[in-house]
Amino acid sequence: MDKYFPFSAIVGQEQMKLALILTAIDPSIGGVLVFGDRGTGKSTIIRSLAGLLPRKNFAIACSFNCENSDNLCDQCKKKKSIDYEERDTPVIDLPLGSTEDRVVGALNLEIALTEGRKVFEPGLLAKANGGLLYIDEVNLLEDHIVDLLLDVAASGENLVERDGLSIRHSSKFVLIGSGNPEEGELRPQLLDRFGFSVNVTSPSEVSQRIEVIKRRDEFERDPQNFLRKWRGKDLAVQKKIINAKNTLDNIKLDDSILTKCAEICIAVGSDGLRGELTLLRALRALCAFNGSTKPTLDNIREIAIYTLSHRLRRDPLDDTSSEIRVKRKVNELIDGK
Amino acid sequence: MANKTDFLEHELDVNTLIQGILTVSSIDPSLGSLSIKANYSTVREAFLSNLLSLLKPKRLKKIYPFQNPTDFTESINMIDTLTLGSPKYNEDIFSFDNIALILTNTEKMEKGLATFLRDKIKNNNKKFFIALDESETNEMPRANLSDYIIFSVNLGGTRYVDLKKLSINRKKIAEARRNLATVQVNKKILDYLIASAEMFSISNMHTIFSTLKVAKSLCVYKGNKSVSREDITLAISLSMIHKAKQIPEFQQKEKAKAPEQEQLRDDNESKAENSELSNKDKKMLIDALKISLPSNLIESLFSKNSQTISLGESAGSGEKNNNFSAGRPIPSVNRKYSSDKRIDLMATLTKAIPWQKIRSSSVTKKNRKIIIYPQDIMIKRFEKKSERLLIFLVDASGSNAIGRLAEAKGAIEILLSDAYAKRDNVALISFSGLKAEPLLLPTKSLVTAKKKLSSLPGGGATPLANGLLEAFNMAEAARSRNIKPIIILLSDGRANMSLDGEGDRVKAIKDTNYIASLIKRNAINNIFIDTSRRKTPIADELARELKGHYFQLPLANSNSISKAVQQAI
Repeated sequence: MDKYFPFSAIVGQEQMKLALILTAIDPSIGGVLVFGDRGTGKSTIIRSLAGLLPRKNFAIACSFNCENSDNLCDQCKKKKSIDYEERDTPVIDLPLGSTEDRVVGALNLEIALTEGRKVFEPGLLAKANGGLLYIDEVNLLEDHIVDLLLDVAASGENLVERDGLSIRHSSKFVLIGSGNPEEGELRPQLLDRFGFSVNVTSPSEVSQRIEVIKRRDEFERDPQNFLRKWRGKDLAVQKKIINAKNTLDNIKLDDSILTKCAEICIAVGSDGLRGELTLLRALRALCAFNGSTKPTLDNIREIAIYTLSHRLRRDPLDDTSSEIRVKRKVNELIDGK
Repeated sequence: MANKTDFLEHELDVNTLIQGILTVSSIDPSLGSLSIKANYSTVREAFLSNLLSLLKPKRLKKIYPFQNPTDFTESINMIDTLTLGSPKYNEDIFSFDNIALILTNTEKMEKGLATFLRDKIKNNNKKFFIALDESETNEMPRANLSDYIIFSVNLGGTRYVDLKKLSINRKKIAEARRNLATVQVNKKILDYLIASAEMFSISNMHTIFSTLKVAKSLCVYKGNKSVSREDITLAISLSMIHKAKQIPEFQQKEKAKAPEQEQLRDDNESKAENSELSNKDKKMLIDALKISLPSNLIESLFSKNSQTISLGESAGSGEKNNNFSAGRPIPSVNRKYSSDKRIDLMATLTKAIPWQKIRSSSVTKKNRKIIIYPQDIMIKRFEKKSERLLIFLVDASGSNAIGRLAEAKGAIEILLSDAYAKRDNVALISFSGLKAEPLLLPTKSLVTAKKKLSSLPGGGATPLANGLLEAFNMAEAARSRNIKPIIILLSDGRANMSLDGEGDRVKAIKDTNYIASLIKRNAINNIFIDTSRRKTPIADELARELKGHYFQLPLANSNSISKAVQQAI
């Protein structure tokens, strides 16, 4: 199916939508982790992003998605001039059970066999460069693939030393993971890579559910018309994202906000400084998206849960929801004074 | 003889059910997926051939549980490529329309393949998926997959003579297909659908939506313009009820949830039409379902704790490691190629290169860069650490509860944190009263395990034999998936409920010892933590039958239990 359900037509799931929009505005926030039952619309939302994200300029005929002249791949460096074209932001799937070859890339068999030359066949990490890498059932991913991803996500670079090849290429992507928490947990190292962690559930109100079914029905009956109907709203969101990207640098974070963020992170006991950094970046993106110039305490309240709840050091057997713990602390600190 | 009648005019049995399913999926080709629950038997084969003769697929393809998704798409066909000297690709079987795909042994399917197929089924168009499910009653089906397969047939209890040759009304179907786009669904009907889904605790919007699609197909098949309640009810029995997480009970009065959630509706219809169905309506729906369903389907839903003794004669056969597909790479070997293996190209080339001069002199293969013979082929190997499953079998009976259920729970929590460190799978089975019940199917989510454990109530008789049997079946199921099981029993060993549910102490002990010997004979590792105050002859005998590790809880402090488990593993 080429036609994905439009982003704006998705009923509810506002938290997940906001998290995805914020990472689109500022990719340095890190990825989004979505946990929830089957059939709650996780993958529908992620697929719909393809039509929402602003288009980007990529080098023509470059399999590593080179974007600008500062950071070119080896092939593009050799070219005399590079032409760019506007393309959709890539949303790449990393299926479970992918082999290492598929993920990092390997020797191109076709050329090796027909011409006897060693040529690198780029993997998923090359395709996802400058875009999104989506892992469904991320908590079931095999450990050796997780190790690989952690390494690349941290360095932004994929280093291949195998099959007699030695290749290095840039691989910067936003990691999107989804899964069903009942099937297993995620390793803390990988958890920490995600900027946001969001829980989704099926809409609990009957009226909302009916709306979901109605819109889905309408979409399947006449996709062209449905897409046309919602295109305007999608474009409006896209425009807001582009504007927000441009105004991101104008957002002032004064010391009182920084202090509040630090206090919250200390109070909930999040490991390391990534919590604070993500919280600040998310605040900035949120302000830019809302068109304001200065974050408010309510903004902190709005996003602290999603940026911090998965970073708490916790007893593996402690079952009190970390979301509730974060919420309580945040409210205490904000309303306390 | 062909059964010419229409499925709508008859009660649903296996035959009419399949007529209905095929009719609906021919009208709406996105609905073609069916799971068949049955072991290999002449009945299943006959059923399949009946099904295929109606379906008339252009192609038929089998998918085995340990295949790699890349086998079906984009991948290079090694044998053809090497013999022809130019790249040849495997056909992408998902690019064909009107293909029937038979997924064998779905209960053993690799997670990666299951996720891959799930996406194909989710976006199905003009393909028919037949998932063969041979799981035992207490085995966990691949929820991942089964949640998205639309129809389900349970052939348990069906005899060969019950099966009939069938036909579907293709003319009516063709006409119905033309009208499908014009079907109307009014708000009342949607309300009814959503409320029914809620009643069965179904929150997966995909399931709900596909049920609506089934109902729409039924509606056009009947020649109607607007989906009726009847259509929805039949659709629910075809595509929703087997996914039910709970069957509503009507004996006890449900706490009437105040219908406060006001709906955005202005017409003053009767209250029965409200989002929460009135009890009378619910009763009607259930009755309708009961009548319209094959009796064994309902039965299988109600008797979740029915048990079968499977004498695992092929014990241990499942523990072999399938080491050509995934895991940590180890050096390649020179083996014959088959599609479940992967070729190590570098090693193969290295092996072939010394011979190039000699081989290139042969006349037929002049114009090739590299000449590779089948004997050069090196196969990749992978080492896969066998996963483990700790099955906690907890005695929640009265005799144990009064004594030391709390202490036993404490002991398990210690073991759980060990399991966390080792990334083991855990499962939890408790027994008390009449039955043994798997509280938690194998999972890595220890938080869930702990939640289930702390809410475990105590009281009732001691159906120890049932508990052991449940654990035994789960252990065997784990083995068939290449997971090493360990049963950890926490009980005082005082069984007083026999396998057939009689309060006969002598028979209960006999049954218990029998199952224990079954566990021993199949070489399943086990640990018996005796929770009685002092050692009793009954517990002693059980320990001897189990021949695993035996401890008494009074002596076992947290560390020694944990150590014991480590050793036993």
